[in-house]
Amino acid sequence: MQFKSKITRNNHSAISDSFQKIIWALVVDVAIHSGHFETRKKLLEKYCEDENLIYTELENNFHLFFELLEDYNKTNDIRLYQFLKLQARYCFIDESSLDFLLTPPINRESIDKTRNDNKYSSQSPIAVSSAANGGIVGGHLIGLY
Amino acid sequence: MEHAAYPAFHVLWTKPSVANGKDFAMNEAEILTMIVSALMWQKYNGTIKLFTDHTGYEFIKEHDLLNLWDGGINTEVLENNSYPINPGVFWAAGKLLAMEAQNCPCVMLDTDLIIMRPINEVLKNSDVTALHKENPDPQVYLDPSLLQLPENFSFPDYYNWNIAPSNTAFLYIKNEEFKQFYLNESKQFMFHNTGKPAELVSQMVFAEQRLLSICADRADLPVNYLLTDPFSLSNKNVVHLWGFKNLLRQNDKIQKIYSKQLIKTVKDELSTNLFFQNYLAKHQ
Repeated sequence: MQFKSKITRNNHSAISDSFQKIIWALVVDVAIHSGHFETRKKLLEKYCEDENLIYTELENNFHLFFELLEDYNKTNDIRLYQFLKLQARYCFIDESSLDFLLTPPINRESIDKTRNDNKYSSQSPIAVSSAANGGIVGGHLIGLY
Repeated sequence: MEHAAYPAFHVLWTKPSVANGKDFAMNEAEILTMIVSALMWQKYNGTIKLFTDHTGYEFIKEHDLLNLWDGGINTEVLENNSYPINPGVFWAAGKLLAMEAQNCPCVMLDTDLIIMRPINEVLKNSDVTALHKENPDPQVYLDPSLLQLPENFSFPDYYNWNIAPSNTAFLYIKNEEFKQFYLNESKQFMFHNTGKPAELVSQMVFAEQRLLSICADRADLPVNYLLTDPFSLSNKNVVHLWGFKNLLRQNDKIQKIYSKQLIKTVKDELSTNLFFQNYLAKHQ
């Protein structure tokens, strides 16, 4: 029996390269060129079948991603960015690709600044600020950052 | 699972919403957090009960949550209480009223706080444990001269105003005598004290969080903390929505992503919990 190693593959290890390209084309079309997600659904569904993914789950994830992306692009709220990044993973979109979709591009300096602006001034170098995570304590325990 | 018995309680007090002219409401993410809070406490640390009032009970019933608390639901304490406390000012006083009715040792657990692991090792040698020290922001923890006081009330000379307030989203008190002392001090401040602060926070955080530290200092009991820094990544036990609730209330997409992450995190640990599995079956 042959096993396909996942160790050497990138973050999109759950899907094939061709599906990855289809997804990226869809995302660029919808997010940047105001294309319609609806027209791509059949193709997406076919690939899901081929790749043993649950289509309805992926569709819901895309809807949520596009809605949140719209919210972020309207507000540039840094707290939304953290969640956008999370939701992007469910849509097989990596962080650098996500940044390409943002208007204006994410200001990494401001994120780094809020990370260092911890009013509790922990002696621990690995503390995050309440501004960067929306005020939740222990968000890392549930994978929020 | 066998665990040390640390009886805890949740509180849903709806009178502050009513006093402020609003219907009591919790969004789906807040409800899920409350469910996980109760179930994870039961799994690792002890029993938990709910104190609520009639409106809260109807809310719980409507959301099919009556069996969530293995210690049952008490509506008598909060519904029938006749203390002269203004719920619009002292919006968290329901927690203190519930604590008065609960025997020590006891744990007061906010519904937006989840303890993810057993903490008996932390509690067993402690008299008082709170969540973490509060940042003594003078805009929130006002100078005593700026607090609104009831008539004929003055602060005792022995109050140490330099002691750091404690966040009481989690509060363990071992000793009944200390609990009564703390609650009596708090009641003396809250009774007939109707002056509304502009920011709606300072009066309450004094009565609950600053007074706890002041009373512990007076009783010579060190306050232990679950977290030395609320935002440290070395925290392995506590999830607290805290200020994040505001973002959840503003954005239903964030609610969905947060809920998905929370479920993903606890689903294995609660895989044999019938209540949780039924909840997932209905909501996914």
